[in-house]
Amino acid sequence: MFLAGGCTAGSLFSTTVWAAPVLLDDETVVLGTQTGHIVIGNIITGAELGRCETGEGRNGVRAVYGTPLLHDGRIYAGGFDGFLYAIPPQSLLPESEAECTPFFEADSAIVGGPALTADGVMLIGTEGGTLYALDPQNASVIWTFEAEGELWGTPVLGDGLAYIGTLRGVLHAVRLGSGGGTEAWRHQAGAGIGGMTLSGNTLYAGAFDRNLYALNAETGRPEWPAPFTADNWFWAAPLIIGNRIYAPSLDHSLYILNADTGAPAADPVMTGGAIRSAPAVAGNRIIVANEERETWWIDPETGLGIVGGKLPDAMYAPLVTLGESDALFFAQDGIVYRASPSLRQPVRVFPLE
Amino acid sequence: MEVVGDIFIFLLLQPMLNGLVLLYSLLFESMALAIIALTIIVRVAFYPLTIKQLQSSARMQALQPQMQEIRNRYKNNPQLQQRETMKLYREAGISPLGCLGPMVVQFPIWIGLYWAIIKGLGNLPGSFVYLSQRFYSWLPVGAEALPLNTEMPWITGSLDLSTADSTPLLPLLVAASTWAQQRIMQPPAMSDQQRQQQQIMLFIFPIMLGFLAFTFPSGLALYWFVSNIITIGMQGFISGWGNLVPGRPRLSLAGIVSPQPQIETRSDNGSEPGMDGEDSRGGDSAGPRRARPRPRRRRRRRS
Repeated sequence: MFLAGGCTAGSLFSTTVWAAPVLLDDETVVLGTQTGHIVIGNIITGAELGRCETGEGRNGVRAVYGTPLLHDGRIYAGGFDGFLYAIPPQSLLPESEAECTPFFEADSAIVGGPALTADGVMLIGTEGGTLYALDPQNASVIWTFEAEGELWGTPVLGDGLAYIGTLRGVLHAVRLGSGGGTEAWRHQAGAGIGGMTLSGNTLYAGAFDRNLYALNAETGRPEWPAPFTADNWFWAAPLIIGNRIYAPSLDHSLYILNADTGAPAADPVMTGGAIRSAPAVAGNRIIVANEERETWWIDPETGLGIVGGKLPDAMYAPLVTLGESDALFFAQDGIVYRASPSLRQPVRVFPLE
Repeated sequence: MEVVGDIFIFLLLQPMLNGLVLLYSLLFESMALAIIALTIIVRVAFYPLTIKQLQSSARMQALQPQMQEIRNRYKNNPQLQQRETMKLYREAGISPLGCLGPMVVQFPIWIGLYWAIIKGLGNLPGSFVYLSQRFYSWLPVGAEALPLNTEMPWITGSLDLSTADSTPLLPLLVAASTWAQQRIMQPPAMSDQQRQQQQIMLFIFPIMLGFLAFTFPSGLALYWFVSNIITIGMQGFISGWGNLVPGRPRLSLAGIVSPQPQIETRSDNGSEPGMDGEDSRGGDSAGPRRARPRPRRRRRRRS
């Protein structure tokens, strides 16, 4: 029974919801699911508007881990099957079992999401360590860059540079535009690179070695005397508001740091579970969700947090702000919930039963 | 159930995961070597139990003639037959369930390793989620070892230990080694019916494990194969290779089997029940066999 417990159709391995929901408009959301589907849903009515299925990747896993990107009337999403998809939303039918039409075949599984540069080049990284720069119209390859290790994250874009982190702990800054695909600088961390956030001229990168690094975005030089160290991995991208960094860690804490020095600016918010989702801001509150299904609403000034309602399942995907005051939670049960500072109890919005 | 799951994770899965990653770091970042080393460590840790099992198994084999004699003598009185059998066991100092203990103890190891491979070694986002929660903070290795190299050299070039072997080779090795392990540990059959049952069992388990090896991650199949080879070696060392090598007599069990209590072993046709599995195959298969004379150990019951 124990042995057979892991046997599920298709794969022995369980998948996880990593992709943030993407808003097509005020009431339509695009999801990359842990079952390998690209789904469009209405968060007002709870009705599904369309879906298609990506292929099976390594270990029999079928999943869309990276956050989809909307561009030029198409949904761009990477599949664990190694294909980049470019789907016109109107081509999808509800409850459809149709396969998504591949747009570009990469060298290996795609885990992160695509990113679009200011001059309209699409970047997507692969597990094989290749960063592709593509023409989003016809999928032609403009250039490639071979990273040192597996690329699981979505590239972070800066002024003429793209930042990518590998599971081998190497953070690459890759030139865009002319000379595109060449390395500007690199930084070696002690373990895999987690979420990154660019603010001004500083790149803040969390890593599995429990360190949060602050690097000069142009040169890669460390901005702090030493990286800030937590008790467990930094998985999600930190949030920057003004001169403060709000960095979630798997040690259950949301650290509040001085962005210039890396020193604690306030006591950390100690939640009851590992924080794997990137926080969001809604209604002048920082919203945090953790693996123990808790939601936290934190005053960015004082750093004081209030526990909101519990979600039915754990949260791994980044939180998304909806309008000015609400937030969307795409939980591990594959369901999207909505909450606001005034009504802190998350409410199921898609799909509705 | 959640408490049981937590206990399982705390006592078995977490130590196994961390042990595997530690061995992986020490053994040239090879998960194949880590699994082989873990198998050896597990077998060494359970060595006293395994020896007890093998001794128990050997003693049971040695008692087969007497047991057959009891069955023949009391075939019309099951209660008396059972009582005499238990008395025989008691006098021989063995428990009929003694040989099951080590197997029962090893079963959680299988389950733990299975889940360690499924949960931790897939190099999937979900695996990282799991590992980040299960690494011991005091262990010098952890996140630094990721992503784990789960490839090992294979006839196809390489084999990913987190997935099933796409060739039938590893499942065949598992099936063959399981067959050999059972064969070498099999007690001599005392009747045609028993021999038929043994023949069926001799093939059912290898086929079953071979099928599982074909379906489950190769890391688990590698564990089974290495574990079988170690068991075969230990059994061969202790009681000889007689069962495994046709025509080669089993070695004496004297080294591990204490003097056995004897009941009257002479049967109606004047011959004595045999002990040796291979020797017992000639002639009337259902009939008693001639054993090696052991004058100093034999106690004849006076009639």
